[in-house]
Formats: sequence, C-alpha cells, structure tokens
Amino acid sequence: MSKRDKKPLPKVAQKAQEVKVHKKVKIWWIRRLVQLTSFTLFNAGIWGLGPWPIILPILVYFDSSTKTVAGSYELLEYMLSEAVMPWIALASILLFTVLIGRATCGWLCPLGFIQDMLTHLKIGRWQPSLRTHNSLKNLKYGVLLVVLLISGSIAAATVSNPASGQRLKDSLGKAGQGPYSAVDPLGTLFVVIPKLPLAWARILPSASDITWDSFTKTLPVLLPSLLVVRLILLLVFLIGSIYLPRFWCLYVCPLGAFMALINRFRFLGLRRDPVRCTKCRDCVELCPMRVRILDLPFEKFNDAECTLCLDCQDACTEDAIKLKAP
Amino acid sequence: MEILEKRVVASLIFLVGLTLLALGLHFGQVADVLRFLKTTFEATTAGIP
Repeated sequence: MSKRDKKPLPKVAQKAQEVKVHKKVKIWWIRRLVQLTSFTLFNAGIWGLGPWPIILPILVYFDSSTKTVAGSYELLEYMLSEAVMPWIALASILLFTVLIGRATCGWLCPLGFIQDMLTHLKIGRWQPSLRTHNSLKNLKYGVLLVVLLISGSIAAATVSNPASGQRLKDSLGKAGQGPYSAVDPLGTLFVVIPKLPLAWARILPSASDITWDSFTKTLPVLLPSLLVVRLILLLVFLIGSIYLPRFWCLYVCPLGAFMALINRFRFLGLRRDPVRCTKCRDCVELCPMRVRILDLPFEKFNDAECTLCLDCQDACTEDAIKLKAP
Repeated sequence: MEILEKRVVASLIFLVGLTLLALGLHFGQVADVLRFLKTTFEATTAGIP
C-alpha cells in the first residue's frame, strides 16, 4: 500500500463514516429490541395479561397459561383437528405476507429470535454449497405438504364420517391434532421440557425401590418414542442454529414455506440503488437467508426467502439498499 | 415476472385474504381463537409421559 493510501480521511468523510456506523448499530439494536419485547409480550400471561385475539403468522408454542397471542399455523392445525375451516388463520397468513412479507419471521417470531441468539454464540459456521442449499430449501415445502395432508385428511374424514375421523385421530395420538405442533422445537423447549420432571416423578418408583429390572421396564414409559423424536429434533435445531443462521426457517419451517409461496408478490420490498452500489457483495455475505441480492432486479426485489431483517441495509456502507413500497 | 404483474397478483391475494377474514368474522371464529388460547392445545404437549 502506498503512502497516499494511508492518508487520514478528511473530517467530512470521517463524520460520514461515523454516521454510517451509528446507523448500522441502530437498525441491529432496533430489531433485537423488537424481538425481545415481542418475546416478552407473547408470554405476558405470566403477569396476568391477555389472552388477546391477535393472530400472527409466527410460531408461538408457549404454555397456554402464559401465551397471549395465537400463531397462525398452530391455529390452522387446531381448527383442522376440530374439523372447522380455518378461515381466520389463512386470512392472517395471506394478509400479513402480502403486505409485509416474512417480516414477522425476521422481527417477531420467537423461534427466529432464539435462532438469532444461538448464531451470536459464534462457535462455528457451516456454509453449505449453493447447490446443497437450494436442494435443502425445498425440504420445507415437503414438510408443509406432509403436515397439511395429515391435518387435511383428518378434517375431511371427520366431516364425512365423524366416527372414522375420530378413529384416524386416535390412531395418531396427540400428534393427530397437529402433526407439526407435536414436534416443534419451541414447544419442546418451553412446554414439554419444563413439564418433564413432574411427569417423570409421577411414574418413577421411590429411589430405594429402583432395581435394574424395574428401571428397564419403566424406561419406555419415561421416554416414549414421540418424546425421543422431539428431543432429537430439538438437538438438531439447537446445533443447526449455532452453525447456520436461520437454519430452521430456511429448511424446515412449514409456516415459512407457506409464506415463501406468497412472499415474492408482497407489497413491501427492497430497492438497490445501481449508482451507489459497488457490488462489494457485503449484503450477500451478511444475509442470513442467503438471498442473492445482486442477481435480483435493482428497482424492487422480493425474494421468497427474504425476512426483511434489513441486515443487508446494515451491511451496505454506500447506503444503496432501501425499503420500497408498494 | 414484471413488477406491475406482481402488484396485480398481490392485490388479488390481498382481496382473497380480506374475503377469508370476512368469512372468519362471519362464522364467529374470533371466539374460537380466544377458546384456543385459553385451553391447552394437546398437540403441543405430545410426548409427555
């Protein structure tokens, strides 16, 4: 590097750089603050608040005694299990997504917030190749199809013949009510695990009576297969989120898949100023959803995976990326 | 797909959403939502022995 390159920046440029750094920190902090506040508000039942008749397209698998708002997807599964057409749950998904896209995933979803926090641990980073990433992205559509098929079949069977519908539901146990809700990692973390010690204490004989035989006999009761599946999925979720930002949203979440189908048509989008943009790829590198921003049209881009987290806007030192509506 | 075409599709989706919302309100599903929030959704507790 020549001496000329090392020359200190003029005062005006220094000031501009400070402003940019300040702006970066501000957006990042606003999002974290909104995520933390919404996480607290969704659990405000602890302080006797709620429940409120608010339906948001997010995953809110908290205990019913603390939960204040309903998640569209769990409501959809619940209504289908009751053989009721889930008009209001579908309306919530369509209206929110067409207006603000998957911003609810980026700014409000508790599962997304936990993933963001886990990614901040910065233990390691796994970056799958673009080909693997594109193949894995389709997995969530498969998950959506399977869970909707199960719920839809039960609802259709119940409507046509209530007895056979009930038999079908019973054959699947509690998972028959909501195939995805029965394995969601947020539910495992905030509903199942806190209730496990009490449930196990009821089953286990007193410590003095435990023998090897009695222990092996009670083990399948203590750890039913569905619980094992839930714990494995929770582990996959936790490890995946540490190594890959928004792992669950990208590859597994059925609600994310549903919203991704509509997300490309949303009114609120992003715009890239072609004059200011230096194509440094900072925005692409920082995007948690791996949106290929530079390959999208600059006047307005709405990628199916974009959660409007605005990390790209934060990353851009040239201030080239801005919100655009409609 | 052009931006204008996307806006047309978005407007149609918006109208479908409004229709579904109207149907939901007409069938009194807000009460269902409150009932859902007050009771334990069994699927969430699935797996507890």
